[in-house]
Amino acid sequence: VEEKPTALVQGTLYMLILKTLALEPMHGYGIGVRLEQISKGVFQVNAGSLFPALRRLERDGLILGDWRVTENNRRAKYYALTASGRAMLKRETRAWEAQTNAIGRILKASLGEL
Amino acid sequence: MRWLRRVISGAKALVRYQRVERELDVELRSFLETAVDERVRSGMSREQATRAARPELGLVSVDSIKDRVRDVGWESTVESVARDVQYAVRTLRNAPGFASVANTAIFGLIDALVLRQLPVRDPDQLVVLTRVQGGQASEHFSYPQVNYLAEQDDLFADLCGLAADTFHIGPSDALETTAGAWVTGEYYRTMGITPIIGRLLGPDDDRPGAPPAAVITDAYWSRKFAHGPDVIGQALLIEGVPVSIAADITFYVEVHFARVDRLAVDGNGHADAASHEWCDRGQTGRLHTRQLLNESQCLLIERSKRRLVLPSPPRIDNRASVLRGARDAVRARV
Repeated sequence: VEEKPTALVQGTLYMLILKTLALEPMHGYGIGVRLEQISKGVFQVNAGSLFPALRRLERDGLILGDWRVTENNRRAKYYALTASGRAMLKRETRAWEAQTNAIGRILKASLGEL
Repeated sequence: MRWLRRVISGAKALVRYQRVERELDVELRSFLETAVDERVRSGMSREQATRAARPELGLVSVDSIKDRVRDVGWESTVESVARDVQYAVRTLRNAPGFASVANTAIFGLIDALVLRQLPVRDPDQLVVLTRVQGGQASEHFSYPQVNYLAEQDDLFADLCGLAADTFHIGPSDALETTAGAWVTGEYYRTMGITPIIGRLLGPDDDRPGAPPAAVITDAYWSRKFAHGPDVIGQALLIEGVPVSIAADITFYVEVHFARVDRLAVDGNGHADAASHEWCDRGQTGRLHTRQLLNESQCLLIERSKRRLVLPSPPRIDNRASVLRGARDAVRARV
């Protein structure tokens, strides 16, 4: 198996973007920086993944874009979570926790427990 | 009702094509500039920062990012059909005598609900074609593929291709970037669009030697020519080539440019009247098709042009039953 320590598990980028936007509305660059900060540099999201993901989330009504002026006086599209986005994040988080718990149990399993 | 939102969003994206394109441009530019600002703030010179930011952000090829973003607008429909077509392909693969199908390109049909929002004739008969190959769905077709499919007149009443592009219009000292598209000669007939004035492009415009011609939108006519009635026949300088205006329409792209096989633009922005680059550089068309409703509704075509047409229930807009019919037909052959 090829080792890619910073590669995201398929599909999790959507969840991470939703989570980032649940904290506050942000523009594309801000989302990338925030993900990198929170993950302490483990995840670096490049534009080729970020923008298609934002478009898809917006298309599905999970986030909503709104043009505003940034603190550097540039126009940028700020994304915010919609009600369905919030519900989706809740579902995805629950599913993710269930999966990681299960995987954790499998990885820690010893013969004695079986 | 997420599917409905997707359809509405797809329709909006199509109708507001120019706005969406412009916004994506601004968004990517602002993304890069913000990144540069941040690096300047942390002590880099602006030049160093600009050089460093692009590769760090994966912004080396902005066009490929734009392509990927554009693809998303349609992906949900493509994906669901792709899954069904893949199912058919897997079944086919297991059939004796069909082993060679594994590496072929498969074309599936999609009912394009989004087109119902547009001012076209019988929009419910229009479908968008998608190509499924190696599990990947794409709406990009090469020009020869468009032509090949257009020849399948038992499948399509009309078929056309469109490739969105950005044109530089005007004299070299006053160039204006304008959103537009290359269209094949069948485009307007397929869409059933009527011009406000003038004549629309047709198959004759694709013939070698035909003078290049353009169709402009009502908005462009108003902005550039103040709705002057003498606009027809006037020349627009597109990529340095004089192109006469054939018609005005109300539609979503500013300039439609015929002669896709004869006029292309090289990397330096110079038009080459004999180039076939349009198809060779992978710039391909989105197909809108007018489907004959009582004929085969689902088709699988090999790249080698051998094709397998599957009979299916009668209406293309009932996607589920069409695909069920296709599956049954495939199963019957196994």
